[in-house]
Amino acid sequence: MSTLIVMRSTPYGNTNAKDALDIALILATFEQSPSLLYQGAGLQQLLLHSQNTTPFKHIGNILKAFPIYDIEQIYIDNASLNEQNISLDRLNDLPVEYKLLDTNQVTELMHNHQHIMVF
Amino acid sequence: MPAMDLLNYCIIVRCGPDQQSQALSALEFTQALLTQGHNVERVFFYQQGVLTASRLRTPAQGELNITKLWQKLQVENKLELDVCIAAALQNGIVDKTESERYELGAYNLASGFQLAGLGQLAGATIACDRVVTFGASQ
Repeated sequence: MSTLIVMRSTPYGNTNAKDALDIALILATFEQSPSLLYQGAGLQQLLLHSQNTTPFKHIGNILKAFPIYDIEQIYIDNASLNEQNISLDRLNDLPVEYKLLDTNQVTELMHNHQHIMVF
Repeated sequence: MPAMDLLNYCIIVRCGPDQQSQALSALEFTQALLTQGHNVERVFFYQQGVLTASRLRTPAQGELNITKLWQKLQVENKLELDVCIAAALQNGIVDKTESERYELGAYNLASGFQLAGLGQLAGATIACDRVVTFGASQ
């Protein structure tokens, strides 16, 4: 497997979320099927119905494009759910399937990719 | 000395030139790779990293000018220094072409650097054995 992009930033605190998604989309157009791992504060990017009170574009709109780009390898760090106080039912509307990973599986995921980029 | 595999690298610089030791580490790591005979496919400046490519940067006397150091390394090694065009425009780094396109009246991309799309980065992840990032903010 090629590139794993680790999403650790809040959606609008800085440009990390958007910049990482731009890389994911471009890798997908190069048929590199990137994997995305959401960890820590990065999980907040997955809340499609979160109210965006900032003037910045809702990150959820990019997520909705994942199926069009064939971005299908979505992983969520299970330990981060508790830490971020996010219940699974808030992820029901995600447009893509995701896998919950425990700590060992996160390690394994990282070992299975040639490149890792952390945002 | 054990034989060393020579690899193909892509370097991503995400920190601005003001993030001193991080910005310098990127340069010195690239330098070390080249000295050891590795190939550096390209250096890709992303996020705040694009600010490295302004020829108007004027650090105080006696301080390191990381832009000039990259330019020197580029000339000596025919390095490809790619500056993400979207991040560059966002941060006010433009070349002649973009300056004319947006009628900005001035341009400031330092010589040796070139504006490039994210596709160059995607291509590098395919071609390179290693992608090494410097200055990831979290």
